Amino acid sequence: MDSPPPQSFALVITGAPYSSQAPQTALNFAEAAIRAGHKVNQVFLYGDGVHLASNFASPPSDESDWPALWRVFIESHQIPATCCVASALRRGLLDETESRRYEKTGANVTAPYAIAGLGEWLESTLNSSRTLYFNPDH
Amino acid sequence: MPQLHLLNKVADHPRFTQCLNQTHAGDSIALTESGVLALPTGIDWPEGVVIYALSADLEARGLGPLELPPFVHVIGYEQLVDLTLSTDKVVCW
Repeated sequence: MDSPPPQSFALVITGAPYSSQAPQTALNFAEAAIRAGHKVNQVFLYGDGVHLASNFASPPSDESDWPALWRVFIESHQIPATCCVASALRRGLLDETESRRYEKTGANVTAPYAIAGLGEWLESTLNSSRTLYFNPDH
Repeated sequence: MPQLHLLNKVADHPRFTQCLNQTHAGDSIALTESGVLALPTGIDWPEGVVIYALSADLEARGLGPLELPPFVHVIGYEQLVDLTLSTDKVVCW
């Protein structure tokens, strides 16, 4: 199989860490894509996938910390990462702005993630060679 | 137009059947995650469809070469990336 010329991917993660393999599969795929010289244009967390953005996730030290691994990956490759606002708010994923707006006491979504709507996402899919969904397997 | 189907569901999941029903000769199916568990069960795959399986997920589920039908192509993530770019459309089930 010949390697195709460099392309760009938009990745949608709809499965949560620890209840699905989606964040792990997506990270392995994204790392392989970058190793092959391709680009990841955008990561979009949707549905239960927004749990990946939580700064408050504190897994045991002998387990993979998927939120931390994803955060490092996104930051080291400077990939825009977006949490769907409608998915995030109803699951208790809030940045500072939303936390103030809803008068909550904490904010668990910080950079590199931004909470945004579907418009920004749509634009990035139009500029990517492929859009792939990493859905839960259940 | 050839399509690549990324299938991560077990064989008794409704989407597994939907995927097989919407797969045509010339398409490819890449089995990932729990999708690889369908391989030893002897199900009827659509004719003219190339079947791939992700090696990391086979290994994680204890499926070795002896449990796999001979027509399966075992691939790594690098080849999966190439596959997604070599077909016109990717369907994620």
